[in-house]
Amino acid sequence: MRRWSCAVLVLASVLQVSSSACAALGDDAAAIATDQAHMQASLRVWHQANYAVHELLAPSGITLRQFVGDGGKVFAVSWSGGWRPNLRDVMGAYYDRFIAGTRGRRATRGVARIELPGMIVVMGGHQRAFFGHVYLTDLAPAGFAPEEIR
Amino acid sequence: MTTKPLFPATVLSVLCACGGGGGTQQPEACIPVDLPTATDPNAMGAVVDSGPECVGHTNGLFTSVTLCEPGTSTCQTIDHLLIDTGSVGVRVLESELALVLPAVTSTSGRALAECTHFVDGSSWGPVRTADVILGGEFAVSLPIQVIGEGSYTLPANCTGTPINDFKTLAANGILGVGVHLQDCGADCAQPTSSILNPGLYYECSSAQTCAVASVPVAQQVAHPVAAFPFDNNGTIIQLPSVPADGALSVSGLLMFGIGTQPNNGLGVATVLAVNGQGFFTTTFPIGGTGYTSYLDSGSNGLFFLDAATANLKQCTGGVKEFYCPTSTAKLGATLSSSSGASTTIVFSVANPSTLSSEAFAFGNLAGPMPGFPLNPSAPGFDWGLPFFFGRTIYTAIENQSTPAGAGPYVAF
Repeated sequence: MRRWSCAVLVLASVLQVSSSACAALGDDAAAIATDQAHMQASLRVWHQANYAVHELLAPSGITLRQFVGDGGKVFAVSWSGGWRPNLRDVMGAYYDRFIAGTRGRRATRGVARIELPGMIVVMGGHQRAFFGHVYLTDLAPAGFAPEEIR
Repeated sequence: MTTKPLFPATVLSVLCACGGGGGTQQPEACIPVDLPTATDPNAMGAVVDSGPECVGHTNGLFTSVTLCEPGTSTCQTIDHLLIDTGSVGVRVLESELALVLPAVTSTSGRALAECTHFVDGSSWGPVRTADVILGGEFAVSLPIQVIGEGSYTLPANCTGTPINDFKTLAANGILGVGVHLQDCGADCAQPTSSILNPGLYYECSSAQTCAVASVPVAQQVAHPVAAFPFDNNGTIIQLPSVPADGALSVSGLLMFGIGTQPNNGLGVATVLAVNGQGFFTTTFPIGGTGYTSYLDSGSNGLFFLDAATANLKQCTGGVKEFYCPTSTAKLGATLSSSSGASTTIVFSVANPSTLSSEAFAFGNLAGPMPGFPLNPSAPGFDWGLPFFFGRTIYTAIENQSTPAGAGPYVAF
């Protein structure tokens, strides 16, 4: 395992295009345990009114938080650490949509807020210090405020 | 200079360069600006202009770099590399490169390539060796990155929006002059089996076959200035102020060394130590809350907090990633470091509609930090290029000694 997020499983997820064993956006939260094992991460879970936060803290100092709604699906992922996670793992089936929607230049350089149909991605930082999050507006629980992605 | 909305010309010209094959909209004013001449060998000209081929950059700081095939006088000067204190290393587009540069190879003899993370995406391409000349200084046999997908197929795990060609980079390369010695460091030297290895470097056995590699720091893409024989402990960016409605272009200097020559002393500059991530603290407003923050010449605005916390109105429409105060806001903040040093600054945030549509340099362009408030380790302030106007800003490289102690630090 060389990537801090489930890279070993990426090939399978790419070839099968079916849901990855990683707990990517829209996936079942049960896959988080797989992530934890592959990242050799500690797992902390806390509950809010209508969702749960699964926080994985890897030895590399990278933090990955997966937000799970009452239906058991991951509706948001946030990250912070020295490097950006493998976005294909984080976004799962939504990755291709993200790439298609972000080709070309943007008004800001150095930070990014990308609004796509049903999906919002924000990224910032610089080399050796990246952070960001992605969430699915349609899967988020009613009343969920993006400010809650911490 | 006429005062017209910023939207149609500059910011929107950037937006119009987005994919979809629509006609690229040239800025109204497109005048190539010559780099100013620097007389001292440890200095070179830097310019904020419309970018290469009048691509229409807002707050892009550029200079020219001369690359040579190692040990030869076969050289090429490439213009419009973005000067970026938020990254480290020389990177040029393969489409601009006419030289034949030797590959940097892995311990098993395979050619190295890199997937370099930037905020906006990732740049892929081989690691090559070049002699690099900046002004009157030179770095011999420096590992650099050649950006492009022409040599090796982009790996599936090099994720993020591809920034691999002129259209997406909108510059001919990047001159990364941040606080680190290499772009990755010890993590990329970890075994590939280690989860500490972030998988940025690859070794390629064929044009189609690249696998994540463990790369010693000596083979990684490195800070060119740290490789100089002299004046190698840091850089200085010196830019004049710009008028309130912006400037068509701005000419300044990129200098090498801190306290090593008569022209590069720290003087009365405040030295702010930064941590391993390049962070110090910004307190906003003065006497208010402290936030993690950083300087980054590669960011084209002052990006901080959110509209509610900053008490600024956010723009709508094509410039919604910026702040739109009703009238120019005069704000104050205190920048401080763990060493106890601090300095208070004032800055302005203008409504983009009051800025010149013909300008490319703005000292008062600002917007929210996307995603703020995030977790406590995420920054609240990105002091981008507007902060550099009217200042002399020092960036000291990690572990290099200076009259104010060893880097990393920033000073101004």
